[in-house]
Amino acid sequence: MSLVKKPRAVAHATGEPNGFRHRWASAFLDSPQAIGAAVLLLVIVGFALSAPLWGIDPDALDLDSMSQPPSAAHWFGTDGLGRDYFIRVLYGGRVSLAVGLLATLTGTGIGVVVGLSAGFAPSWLDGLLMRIVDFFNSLPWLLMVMVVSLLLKPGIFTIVICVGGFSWMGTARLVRAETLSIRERTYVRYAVYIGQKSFRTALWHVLPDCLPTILVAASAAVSGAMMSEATLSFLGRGIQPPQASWGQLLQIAQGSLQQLPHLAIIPGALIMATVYCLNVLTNVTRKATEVEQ
Amino acid sequence: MLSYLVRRLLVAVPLLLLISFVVFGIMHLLPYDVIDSFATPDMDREALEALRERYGLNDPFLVQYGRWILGVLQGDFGYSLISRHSIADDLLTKIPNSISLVLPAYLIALVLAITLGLVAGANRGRITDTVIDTSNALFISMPPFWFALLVMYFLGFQLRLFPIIGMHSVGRTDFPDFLQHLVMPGLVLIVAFYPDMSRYVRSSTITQLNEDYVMVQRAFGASKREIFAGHISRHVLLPVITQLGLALPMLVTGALITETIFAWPGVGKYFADAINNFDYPVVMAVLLLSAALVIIGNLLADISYRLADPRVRLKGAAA
Repeated sequence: MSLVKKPRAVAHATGEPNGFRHRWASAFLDSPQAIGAAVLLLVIVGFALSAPLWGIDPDALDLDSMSQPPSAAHWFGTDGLGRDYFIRVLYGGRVSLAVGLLATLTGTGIGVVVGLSAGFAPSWLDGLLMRIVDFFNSLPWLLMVMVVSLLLKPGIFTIVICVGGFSWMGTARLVRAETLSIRERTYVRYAVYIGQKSFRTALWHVLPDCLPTILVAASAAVSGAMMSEATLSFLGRGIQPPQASWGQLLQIAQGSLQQLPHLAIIPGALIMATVYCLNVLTNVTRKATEVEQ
Repeated sequence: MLSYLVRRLLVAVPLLLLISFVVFGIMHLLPYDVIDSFATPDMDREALEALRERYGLNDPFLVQYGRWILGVLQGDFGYSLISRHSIADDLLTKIPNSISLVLPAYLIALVLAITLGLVAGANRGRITDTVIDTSNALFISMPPFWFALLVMYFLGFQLRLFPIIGMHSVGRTDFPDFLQHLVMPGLVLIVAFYPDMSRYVRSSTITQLNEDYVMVQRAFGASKREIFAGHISRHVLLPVITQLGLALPMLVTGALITETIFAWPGVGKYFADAINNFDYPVVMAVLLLSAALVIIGNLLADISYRLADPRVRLKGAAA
């Protein structure tokens, strides 16, 4: 290792041995647990994406085979209306995963914009933005999200707004802290010195260096968002029937728990598996960013 | 210390007012009000309009907000739209119910987390540690409401060990009956609370084990037990204990999902029902209460942290 530390952005871009990507790959390959998690996650995502290819209508009622346990004809059985549960779980998975990703994009987007601006802004604006973060942090989020969901029409869009709009504060704090430190590096100060506009400096010189931090925050946010979506849908304030998500399937399954426990067990186990895999991969990413310090 | 306290309170009060304002604003935007809740189809438009006028619903937004917040300051949260009960009275019966569920669960989770965390940290890399750490990771990934359904199915429906819903059987108020009802929701809460704390204790134990003072102790021949009892446990537990304030809001609304599933008559279920029935005075009251507890809890945590560790200089304290 050389004594002179290269700026992360350079190392990142060239992919040399101490680059972030390289460190991520070695942290990933070092951990059999991470490889297992990635494979399982790919399988789950693959199945969810393949939902339309199975040629089964998730809303088709079959009154002759209602409430059946898993069998060769219906791998996950059927629900109380005779709908094939396997295909409903696949379609539900698409919604759950999509909400997880979209809410993360929303939350991370807000967090990055607020964090970068706060790090670059004059101190009064920085103070104001951080007070806003404090304000959001002191809201009891589950209660608040339930209230906001009353205002908007229930559905994917509302859930994405609710979950993303109440989960950006951590990212904003991290990005601000990172920005404040990166701002003092020579190449950023040089950019400012030669009269580069702060907007351009932030975007071209600071943001790329924040990426590993953002990546860790975002990757943790996906599992958090999926959990939030499931919670909201389970409480009846999220995805509405006939559309399905894993949390919404659990809500319906609650009513027939005694007779049809498999309707509850399957979607919950899938949420748990997905969240677990995402958490394992987040840890790998975190490890890759920590090696440097 | 005193000036610090004053300063924090000076921030907390406007913050609470701001939150109450936002909450009231959101409720105001909802296309539904008190009159709609007791209007009947045979009341004509003028009658409804007269009622609105009498209840002050045609006043400007700020006047209505002022009236509400003045009432709240005097402990008057208004009346539920559905049951017509005084919300303050309702809360006085629901809050103890919630605390009686959450407090025992939280304390058990705390003891469990500290024990498991210390044991795992002390045996880092061995099989005990792997088992504890993996189970923590799995429990963290588990949706609490799914676990609640599993517990309900296996312990309640299959084995018939415990009653499925409520806090008391009909016509009984004795303690053994209450305990029977407490077991399943309590178990769900313990499993929801402890893994996070346990991970924290484990990782700070590992950090402490690498400190110089541990090496010095070892060099002087101290046993592992002595090092743990006399030194590491103190360093690890101090932050855990001082952060207990952060759990304050959980006592009241931390069991929202669990209470809803097991029909436990606490504040969480009260709020969830109010949301589903558009019972907005109740929603506002619980939200405000909960936000106040979050703010007070943060304040308590910061103060006790400072009291416990004089090296910490808090912003605003005399330099």
